[in-house]
Amino acid sequence: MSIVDRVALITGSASGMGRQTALRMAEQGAKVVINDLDEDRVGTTVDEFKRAGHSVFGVAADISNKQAVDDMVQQVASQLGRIDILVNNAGMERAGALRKLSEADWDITVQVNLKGTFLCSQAVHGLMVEQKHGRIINIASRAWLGGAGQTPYASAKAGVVGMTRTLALELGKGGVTCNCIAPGLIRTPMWDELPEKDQQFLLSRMPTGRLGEPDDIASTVMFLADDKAGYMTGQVLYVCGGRSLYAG
Amino acid sequence: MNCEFKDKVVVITGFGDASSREMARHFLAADADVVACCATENAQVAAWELSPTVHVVNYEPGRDESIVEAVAQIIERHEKIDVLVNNAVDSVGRTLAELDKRSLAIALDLTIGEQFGFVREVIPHMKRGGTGRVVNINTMSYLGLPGHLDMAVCRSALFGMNRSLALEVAADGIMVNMVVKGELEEAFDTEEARSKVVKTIPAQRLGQVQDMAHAVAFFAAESTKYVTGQTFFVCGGKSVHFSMSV
Repeated sequence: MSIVDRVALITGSASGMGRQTALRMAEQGAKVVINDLDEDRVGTTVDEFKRAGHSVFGVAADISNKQAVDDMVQQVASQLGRIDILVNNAGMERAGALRKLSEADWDITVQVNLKGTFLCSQAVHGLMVEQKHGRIINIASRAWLGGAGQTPYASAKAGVVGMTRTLALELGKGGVTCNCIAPGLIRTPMWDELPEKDQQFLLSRMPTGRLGEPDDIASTVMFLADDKAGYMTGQVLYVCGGRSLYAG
Repeated sequence: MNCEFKDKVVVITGFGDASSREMARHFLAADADVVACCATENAQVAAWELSPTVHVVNYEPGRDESIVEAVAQIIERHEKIDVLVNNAVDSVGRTLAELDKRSLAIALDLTIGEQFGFVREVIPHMKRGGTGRVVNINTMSYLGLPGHLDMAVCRSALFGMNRSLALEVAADGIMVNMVVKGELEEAFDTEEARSKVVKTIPAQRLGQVQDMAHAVAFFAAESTKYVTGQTFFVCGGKSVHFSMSV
């Protein structure tokens, strides 16, 4: 795994898939930057990583705010000198039928998932182009293909797919790749809160018959973040147990 | 490359081109038992030159029984197959005017027919083991290229087979994915040809065989257990221009 000493900024990395990704990268020798909206959660995660002997730096920032993102990137650059890997992981969902959704539901979903990915990529790409090396990995969702009750989320994630492919074209010749992972059902706190009958229904429609784990996403991020992945760009890789193929 | 492949039996079909040799090198370095399925004498020599530990198995293109015999030989020696890398090498493409039904049928037999044959023989052994990885190798001609009608037909069939097979065997713990080979350095003899193609690639360079090996190793790994039926391009971003690439 060639990510030793690479500086990796992972947004939304104080919990779930982001935290697992940061942990796996740190275990492989990367210098990881933990980001979350909540300062306490950043502090707790950074302490845990330090106790495990990992190289870690933490910044609390709202990724949907341009000034906050620019300040975060400047802090990381001045502390660690570079940013090699950006994982746009932070996200959230407001679900509901079209008639029940408010303008605020739409705004916040698009701001965090789509605008946040744009702002972070924009703030970081200059450094990457200068370094002639960079990996931008966007976490979209299988839901970009469409999902009932997911209008804002599916729209925002579809935007992330379009952004990925466009940035791949724009940044390709500068040694910067941009790829996208589209996770399906993954074991998260949100999954644990679902009633058992809903969980059983969803699992019955999974070709693999099982749920994904945060580590399935982490290992895919590691594959795309690797120095050896320089000829892979503009790709959308579904990590969904085959659910993107068919809804049986 | 880590040692995730220690004691894994990795079978590479259509062995011989530079990409397949590099894949074999990667798997050998990760302590796998590599089997090279060769259809030509040159391929056999290439396999032997790579390492005396490579198990060389011969088969005859277009003869179904020879694939059955090849897989039986592999099982006899190794008792299992963990990874099948179903390699593909494009022949020279032909236009509509150059093709008839018979020549198209022969092309199908030598491409998707061969890849189907290996899958059909190998999958039962993977099912018995409760796990397995199939990595189908494709080329970008399946997306449609002028003058490559036959290859587009044959390679599109692999796209469908990849997805359907993934659904059939997902519950058995077998992951089936497809890696699409973009423009690699190995395919171009002259500087003029290289520079012409490089202009069409967003990364503004040709790929290396190591790029393919890195991708194949990811999909072949036991730890890649929640990704199946997918198509992944190793193409420097060229696939972005094609609508079928998402």
